[in-house]
Amino acid sequence: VARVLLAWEFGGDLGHARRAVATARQLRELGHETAFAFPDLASIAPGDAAVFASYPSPRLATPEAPDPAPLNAPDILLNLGYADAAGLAGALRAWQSLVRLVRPSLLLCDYAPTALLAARAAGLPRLTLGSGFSVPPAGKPMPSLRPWAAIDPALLMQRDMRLMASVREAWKLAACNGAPPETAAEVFAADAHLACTWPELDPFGARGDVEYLGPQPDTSAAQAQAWRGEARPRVFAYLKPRDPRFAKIVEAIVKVAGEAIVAAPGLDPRQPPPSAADNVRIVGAPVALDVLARADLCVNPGGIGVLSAALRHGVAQALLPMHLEQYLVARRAVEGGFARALEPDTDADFATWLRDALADRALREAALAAQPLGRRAPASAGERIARALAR
Amino acid sequence: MARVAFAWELGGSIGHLLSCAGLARALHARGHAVAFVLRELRSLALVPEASAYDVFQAPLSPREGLDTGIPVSYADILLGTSWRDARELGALLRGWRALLEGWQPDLLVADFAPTALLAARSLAVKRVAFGNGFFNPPAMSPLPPFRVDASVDAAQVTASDTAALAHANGAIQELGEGPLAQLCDAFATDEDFLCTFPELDHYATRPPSVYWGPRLRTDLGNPMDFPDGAGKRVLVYVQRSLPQLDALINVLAGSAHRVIAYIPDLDNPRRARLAGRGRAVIDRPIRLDIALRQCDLLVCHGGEIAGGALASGVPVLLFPTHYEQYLTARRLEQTGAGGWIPPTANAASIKAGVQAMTTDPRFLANARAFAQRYPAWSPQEQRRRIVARIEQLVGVAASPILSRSSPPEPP
Repeated sequence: VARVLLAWEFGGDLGHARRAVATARQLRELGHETAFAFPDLASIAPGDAAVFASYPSPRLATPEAPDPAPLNAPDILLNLGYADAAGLAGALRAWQSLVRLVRPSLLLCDYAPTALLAARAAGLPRLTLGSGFSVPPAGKPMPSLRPWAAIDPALLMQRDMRLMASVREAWKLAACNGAPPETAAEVFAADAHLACTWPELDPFGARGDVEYLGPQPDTSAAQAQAWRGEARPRVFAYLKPRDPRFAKIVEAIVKVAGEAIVAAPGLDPRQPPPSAADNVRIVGAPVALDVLARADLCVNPGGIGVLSAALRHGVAQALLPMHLEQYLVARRAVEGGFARALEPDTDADFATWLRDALADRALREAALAAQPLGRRAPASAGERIARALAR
Repeated sequence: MARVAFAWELGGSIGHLLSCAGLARALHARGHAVAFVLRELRSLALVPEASAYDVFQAPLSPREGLDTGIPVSYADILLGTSWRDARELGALLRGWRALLEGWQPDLLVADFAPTALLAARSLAVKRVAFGNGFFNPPAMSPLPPFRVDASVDAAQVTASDTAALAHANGAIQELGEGPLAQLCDAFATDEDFLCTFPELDHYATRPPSVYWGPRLRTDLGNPMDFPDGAGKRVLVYVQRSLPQLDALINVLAGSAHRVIAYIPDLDNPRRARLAGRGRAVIDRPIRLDIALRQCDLLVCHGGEIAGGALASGVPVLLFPTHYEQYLTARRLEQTGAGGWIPPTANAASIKAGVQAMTTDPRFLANARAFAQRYPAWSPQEQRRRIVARIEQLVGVAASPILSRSSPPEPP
């Protein structure tokens, strides 16, 4: 039996916890133990928390005024607290203590660069697990996150250097063993990068130094829902209630759909529902995605779970990304021809946009044509990690 | 030797870390192993001796502090954290339990750490509370209100207490434990190190209790004397975020007082305005035992230093910025040895406040009288007694608590 410490440090979506739990269950079936380090301990269901020991991830102090438009991956880390060497040193020390406490054979890092640094200092094997976004393509300087915009490489280099100054200082303050990373790319380096996505959906494009396992089966609890009538079109939407556009999008769906199911996990049950229309059902919890099988359009922000499920079912997609990662994935889906996407800050007439998408025959056909991409069998992350443990 | 874990879960001030570090250092010097479980990790830079300890992040809720009003009781504070919801509290409780089960302490020292205490209780780990009056609520049911500036609705106090108790019971029942009969049972300890004086206790209504005196750190930093001159010696320790900082700087710079000011991360323009002949602006803490011996007035927000100054015979002028400090300010005012400036006060009131505190002899007389009431208190003696009591609890020392035979601790 080997023990894995699965560290999640940054990123707020449910996807991290789901991927972690799914992977830990696979490892358990293979006879290995997993402990979690999570920034939000309540993101694990109590049943899973009773099986897998869960520790809090060390926190960084975030800057008072983060840059609203970070240029490259180092810039994102600076925004997340890496600019503050004292704070980084504190977190690094805490990761080191946690590694000593848990004594894992391997660190599995899901957007957890500080855990990667601690593994490096401890000389432990380290793998990354994620959707691709947390593993930026290497470069010197680290490349821009917006390849369509011209950005002076000197500005990118400056971000890299700022990151490295802080990392080196923290490495010293935390009395880490061994040599600190020499370049920004090395901060993100691991023995292998396991991406739970398809190359066609990698936010940074298909790459050679990433192993694409495919989206992992979602084992978390979800409500079963079924279509109730024959009214068309059927719109399935997966929306975040915290999206400022939420109410407007629901309103537009009511207008265009024959029947609609809106999954809105996290919807405050104390608030009145965003719509009481007969043709729309709003569910404040995750919904089982097999309901997509007979849907005409899937509206979602571009998270890998729903997006890949819609792809598997051959359903056209209308994407409303909320942040950069989703935006980059949405661009890939649009390139693939099976989705339309709206810029996050567009003040669009959502009903017209949805009607156009529903009427777009080419979009529908492309979604059907792309279905085999989504039907590929994913490789088990657990088995891949178990192979690394056996080495 | 014993393993002692310190938990700081709530409260934003670094005073928690510094106080814990003072005790931890004394325990470590006597051969005990120490772990820190901290709300925030960046302040570790202030306590280099902690490099010898294990350090962990305290389990916290990312939703802490959402839609909470001004708390009336400790239960209200809890309901502004993960204690608002049984499931969320259960998740944090599991986090604390994982840390305690992994590190295996013989004793948990809880500084404003209610969930840590609940976890230690569920694992039958010995535990002590270590904090000033605000952080150690009296063991009463319901937990009593501390609000003094507004009328308190007794039904609301009971309702908050009942809600927090229900969530705690929901969380521990999931672990297979029987329910608590009353909320204060969650915080029952093997010793309550109530680190204040009865005159300054935030809960003026507390039943008779043992008071251990404030946790003043006097061993940090370098020794420093006040600048030469004839003016009164004013020690200033405030945060840069003080809304009336500019007014305070102007009053001090326009006076003949000799000043030592420690205002962490002060910007250069303000530093330039404050510094001058007879006025030193410093970047690191200085030895407080020396500074308090020389000082005529301490200007600060509250906290352990206020009580420590009073017990050293030094009058205190407070700028409270949150409710806990406001309560300290009100109690200090009652001693006749202190005054306080509300956040709404203008420059003229600040000037008048500093003037009164440095000229009216009653403040100094009352501060000295207060100090004479506690001749046995000193930061070192307070810590020595706490260490002795901890060693008694973990069963590593047979010497009587008040024996003076224990070896001297590091300076």
